[in-house]
Amino acid sequence: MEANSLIHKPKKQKLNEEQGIYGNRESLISKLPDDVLLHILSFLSTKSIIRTSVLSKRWEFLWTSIPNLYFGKPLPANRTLHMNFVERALYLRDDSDIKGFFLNIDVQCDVSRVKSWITAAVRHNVQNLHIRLQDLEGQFSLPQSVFTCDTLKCLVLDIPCILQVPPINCLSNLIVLRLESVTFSDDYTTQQLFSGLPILEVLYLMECRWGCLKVLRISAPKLHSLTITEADLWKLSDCDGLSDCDDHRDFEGCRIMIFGANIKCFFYTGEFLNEYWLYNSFSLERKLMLLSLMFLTVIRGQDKLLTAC
Amino acid sequence: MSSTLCCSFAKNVTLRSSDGQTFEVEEAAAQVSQTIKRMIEDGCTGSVIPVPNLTGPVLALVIEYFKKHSPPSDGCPTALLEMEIKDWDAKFVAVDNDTLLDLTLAAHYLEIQGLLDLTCHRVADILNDNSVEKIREIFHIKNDFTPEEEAEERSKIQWAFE
Repeated sequence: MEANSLIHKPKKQKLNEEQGIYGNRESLISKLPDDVLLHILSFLSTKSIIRTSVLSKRWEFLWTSIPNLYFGKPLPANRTLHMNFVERALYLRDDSDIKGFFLNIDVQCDVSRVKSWITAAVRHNVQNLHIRLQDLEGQFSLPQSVFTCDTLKCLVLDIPCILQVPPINCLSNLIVLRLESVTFSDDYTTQQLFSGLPILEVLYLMECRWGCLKVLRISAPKLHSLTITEADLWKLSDCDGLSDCDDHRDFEGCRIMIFGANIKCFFYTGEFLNEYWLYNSFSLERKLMLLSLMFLTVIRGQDKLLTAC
Repeated sequence: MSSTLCCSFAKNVTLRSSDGQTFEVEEAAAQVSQTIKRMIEDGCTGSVIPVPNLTGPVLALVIEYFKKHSPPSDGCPTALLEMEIKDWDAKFVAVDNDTLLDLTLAAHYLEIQGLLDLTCHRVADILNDNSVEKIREIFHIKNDFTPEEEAEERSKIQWAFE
């Protein structure tokens, strides 16, 4: 029934107050437009969202256009059904953009499946991409399209693998980058990745491994917050990247040169295994050697962040 | 309610519901709705602003929301005031399910993002806490699947029911 035909019954309204204001209450929820129903779904857990698909035919495919897709880690017993569901969610989806894609899964031998999901998210112009992968069997590399995705605003990767970046990469709209547990490859592509971030504001490098990389320049003119947590030495000694070096006892660390004119907060946790040089502007005159100023810089950084909160 | 008192300098507008009821409200408060704000900017303030999608009782509730959420005259809201508003919001949507959906539709028509978030969150809580059968009953959703179709749908997402 049309909404207009329902709302011109003021006398009946009082009589039917217990039933609601409109009198005839049949499926008022069906009068809500899809945008509103999707907004409702956005407050639900993935499981509850999926359950709505059996409510009625209207709800059957509604969830396939929700803007944010969260796929938390399933229980081992549910892994196969869960993976089928992720596939269904991505391949049944209409043309609408995916705003956020959050995936946390034990990959095991399903490398190509997981890669195809990430490719699908990129194809849907994803803005926030959070990928946390564990239990990788064999080599894993991200689809190359991730590194040329110009809709990406926030990229979080927690993947214990060598980060293989394609030769041509540019994340021109990336604002937040968080890399966790990755090992950087020692060729020029890593350098290119950290030079192609024109509007990056926040960078986290958490327990990353520098492998055989000797020097890295991070050049991000808009960067204002930088957090680096080094992996413990005992973890580094058995990491893949280092085993490729001639002898990990010769490990001298990496010199990381950070060019960022706008850095306001800098956090460092670690055992000074690598050198960090912060060029607070592009002028060499203002060069700071962090090893000597480390504590001062950390404390000042914290102060600033606390006041900002 | 003390919030119905308005100072002599405040400009008022009149809103008319679909069933002809009229309500006077401060212009600043009514502008919590983006739809009404645009109408005021387009010069509708001299006459009555029609709100054809809302009945009187729903419009009355929405106006209560306007009054609570109108920007404070003395600048930034304090943390205490924000907490009080949050409590008030929680009570405001603790209504019967049909009124909740009326308010959701109203928030959508009138583009009141805060109210839309509030009501959608409440509806989501109901969906979260109830079985499929119960949700159909609460919101009068007609199950138009055949028993076979429903069984097939359920088998595909069986893990979500565990």
